[in-house]
Amino acid sequence: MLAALIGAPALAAPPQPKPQPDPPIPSRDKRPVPDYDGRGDEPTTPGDVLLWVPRLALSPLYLVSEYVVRRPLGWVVSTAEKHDIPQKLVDLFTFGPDDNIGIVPTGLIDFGFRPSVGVYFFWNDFLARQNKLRARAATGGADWWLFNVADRLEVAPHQELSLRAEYSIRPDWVFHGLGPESWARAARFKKRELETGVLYDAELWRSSAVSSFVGVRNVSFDASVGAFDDPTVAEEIARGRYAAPPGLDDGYTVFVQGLTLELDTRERRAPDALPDGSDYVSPPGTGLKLQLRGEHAAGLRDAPRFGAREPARQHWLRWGGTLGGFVDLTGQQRVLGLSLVADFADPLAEGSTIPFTELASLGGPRPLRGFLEGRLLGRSDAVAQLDYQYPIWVWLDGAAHYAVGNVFGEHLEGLEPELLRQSFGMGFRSIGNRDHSFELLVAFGTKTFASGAGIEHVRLVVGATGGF
Amino acid sequence: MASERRLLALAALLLVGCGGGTRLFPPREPLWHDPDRRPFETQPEEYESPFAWDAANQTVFRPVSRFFAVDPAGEAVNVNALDEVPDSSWFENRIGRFGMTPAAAAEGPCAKPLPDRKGPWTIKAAKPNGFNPGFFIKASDGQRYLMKFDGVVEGTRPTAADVIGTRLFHAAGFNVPCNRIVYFDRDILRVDPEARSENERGEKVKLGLADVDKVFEKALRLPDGRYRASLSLFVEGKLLGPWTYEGRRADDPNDVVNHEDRRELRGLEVMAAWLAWFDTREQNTMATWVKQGARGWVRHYLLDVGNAFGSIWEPPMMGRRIGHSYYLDFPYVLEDFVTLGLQERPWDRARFGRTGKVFSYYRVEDFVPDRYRPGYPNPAFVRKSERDAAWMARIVARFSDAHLAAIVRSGLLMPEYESRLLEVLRGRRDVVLRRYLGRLSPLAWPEARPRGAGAELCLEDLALTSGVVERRERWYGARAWVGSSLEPAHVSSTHWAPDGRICVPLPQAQKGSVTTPTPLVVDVTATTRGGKQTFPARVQLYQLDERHYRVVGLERPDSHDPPS
Repeated sequence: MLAALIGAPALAAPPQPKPQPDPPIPSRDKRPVPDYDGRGDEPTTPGDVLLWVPRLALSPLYLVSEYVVRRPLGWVVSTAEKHDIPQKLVDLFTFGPDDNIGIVPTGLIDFGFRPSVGVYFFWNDFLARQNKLRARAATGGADWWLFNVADRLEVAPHQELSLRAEYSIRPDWVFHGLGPESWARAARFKKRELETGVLYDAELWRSSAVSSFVGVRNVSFDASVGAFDDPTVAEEIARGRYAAPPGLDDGYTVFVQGLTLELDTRERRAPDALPDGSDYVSPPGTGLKLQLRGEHAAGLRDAPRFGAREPARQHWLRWGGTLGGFVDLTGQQRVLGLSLVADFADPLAEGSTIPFTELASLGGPRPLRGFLEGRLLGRSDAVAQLDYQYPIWVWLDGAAHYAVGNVFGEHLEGLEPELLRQSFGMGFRSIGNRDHSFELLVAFGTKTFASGAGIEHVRLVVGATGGF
Repeated sequence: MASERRLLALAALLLVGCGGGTRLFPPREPLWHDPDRRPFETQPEEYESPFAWDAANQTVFRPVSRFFAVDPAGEAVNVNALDEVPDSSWFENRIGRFGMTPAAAAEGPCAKPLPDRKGPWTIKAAKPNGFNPGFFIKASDGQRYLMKFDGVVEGTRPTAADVIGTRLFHAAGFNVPCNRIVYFDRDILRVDPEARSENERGEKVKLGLADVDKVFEKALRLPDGRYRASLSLFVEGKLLGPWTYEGRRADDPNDVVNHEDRRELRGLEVMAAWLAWFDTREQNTMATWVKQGARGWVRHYLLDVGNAFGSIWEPPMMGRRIGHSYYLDFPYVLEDFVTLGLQERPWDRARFGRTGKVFSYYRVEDFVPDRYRPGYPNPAFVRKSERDAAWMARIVARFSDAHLAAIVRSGLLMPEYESRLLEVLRGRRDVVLRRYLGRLSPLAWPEARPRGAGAELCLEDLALTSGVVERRERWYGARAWVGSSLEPAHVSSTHWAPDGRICVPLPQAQKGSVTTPTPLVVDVTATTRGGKQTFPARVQLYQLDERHYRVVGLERPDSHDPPS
């Protein structure tokens, strides 16, 4: 046998005769592991011994990740799949013949405000084809509610008419005072807002668009109610920190008309619908953008006037614009943009005041995102922002920004370089459907240059943003 | 004093592992048969693979847990003395060890003829939704088949991939079903009154004509009215559900090696990368109970290769990532986030080839085998070592252009698609071979032969026989060590044998005999002009007499250090 095996070629030989069938084995006994190469177990090396150091050090994390998280979760999810529970859950949350009706849970954490959870409801082809009903309800606690509903109808290709209404009541709004050097410490107030109206949106050439809104807005405040451990606005006013801002005591009810015109030479990133099996490539994101916006508000009831005994109807105009240039650094949607933003709020009646929540503002979804919404309020604002957006996954873009700006007096009165603040941050956001988007943002807002430009605020946002 | 004692203890511990040097193989025949088909009585339970949990587990939870476990992958377990994989219920050596004619490779696992196209074929169940709509049928030959159609978007790629891919895997050594292309008239189909269909919610409902119509809506129809489908013969044995790429089956007494440490499963990634078969999840495997009287054993299959060769995904940006990143690839997402997306990725450049949607992004450009990614992490693939990959590359080296041409013809593609697929298959094959036959030694299949008064050791240079390098640019060196103490021995220069192998005369130990064989270690290295020298193929032999030596092992060290 040895002689037959010596020098026997292993390759290009006819297949070997089939070996004898393997002998039976009891079901309960595992067969021994063969000594595949005949040399027995590998000897222990110094590396094998040293491995025990990190292994022991990380063993608590391993035990938790494996036996507290992975295995139990695996059992739960597998069992749920086995009993078709995910499909049942989807069925619970979706309805209609084509699952065109559904409910989706939402959540938003914007540190500095109360976290909120809610549900988002959609009904496509509501009363007619291309008629979409959207609604959202969210809560951040007993006295924190948001409801909005919009019925959208595509009246023509790329043109949409919406009836919308929104009601919100929250005690965690912030007020720091007015002007470029407002107080760093937040005071809280409660705002109740009801707005309803008609919105028209149209997509124009490339990324250009026009949007207009007509509606009624009713807002009231309670300065004695707040949130967290921050003082209320009423308390700060009592301390003499600042005077009561316009509109705080009486609220306001106004008829609003708004118009936004946007000329954007950038091609749309993706068409609304692609044919199956498309090799579509997003065009470069280079281009220019000019946005002009304005909102006219006319009071529907009298309000106190500055310097006059008789109240009168409020009347103001908010207007502004953004000029931006964008360069796609690689032609593959790595877009660096520089935008100049300016907004103004002007009363249109003598002595009329503009409610503080209708002033030019920065922070939140507006430029200088390192600050909370409503942090910076003034008669005007100006910002220069450098931003960079780039794809990191199919449905996620990374985003970074650096901006300088602030709020100022009437028509940028008081604008000086040392009064500018900075905002910078990074995060990522989902791309695609505007109705349900996701964002994670970490951003920082600084004091003015005159005050040393130190970091004044750290903002962390996680969750679904915006509305519809 | 206490600290000194601790240091001594640590030193002792370290020294435990310092006694290692070259481990000699025993004077026995390398293991070519892994006895894991030992029949046992109790049929294992059927396993139902959790679709969503598998994705979430492999993408998120398992990688985190394994990171904290600090369990780096060692070499695969089921490797014999020649650095090859023995035959088992998982894998049988075919083209890699024995060669194969192109015709045999094209026949694949299909020993039986196709069922009569005149029918009748009875539909037993339907799956009208999803990517691969189809029927389960019982054909006129009494056999059960899964019949799948192409869909409207990708032309004939899916059915062709099913057929061609399984032949490639079969030739390599894996167990796969017999898949064939069939053209047939719809009239030969009958619907079994008890047949069930699966609705969009995955519920089983009575199969109606509407369900049959729904499947045929997506089928490719020829001008003469016939339909094209792939017909997949049910595999032998009772279906036990998928097997897993990790762990062992507790109720299978033969299953004693963790699956993630099986070489054939680790090396499978190289084949998967070559074919762009990204859907290597456990749901595309099957374990079957092969009865042997009152007992049985478990055989392991690969299934559903229909997504190979450039499957289209929506949206297009996801399709471009297939093969280059996981569906959700946290390392890439994080890297791109931190580097501001400035690093150009292969999916930024990917575009359809000249055949458009048919084979879409399946191409040679930007194919880097090391960076291949399946849809989501595979427990065996992430533990693949250089040796595991080199092993599979040695098998891939056996697929000549003629083999590929014969196998691709079985896909019954139109000429322009056939030529495109061949072009890409050849190109990607060559990329795989250049990568994995260029570091560890591509020398394989050692053989000791008498020559004159002595003997010689001959090896096959797979880089040469596969055409990766040319003979005129290649030269070889050899070193040898003799005896248990591995004393260096003089070795004459290498020479070419008439059969194309590279041979080196073996030093005469003068002391070997059948009863007391003398060990020899011979390193043979290959160098390419302008390129670097590969690491040696280290062959271990025993000298039995002046002219007879016995090859007992082959290692592929990753250094040029002599054995110690």
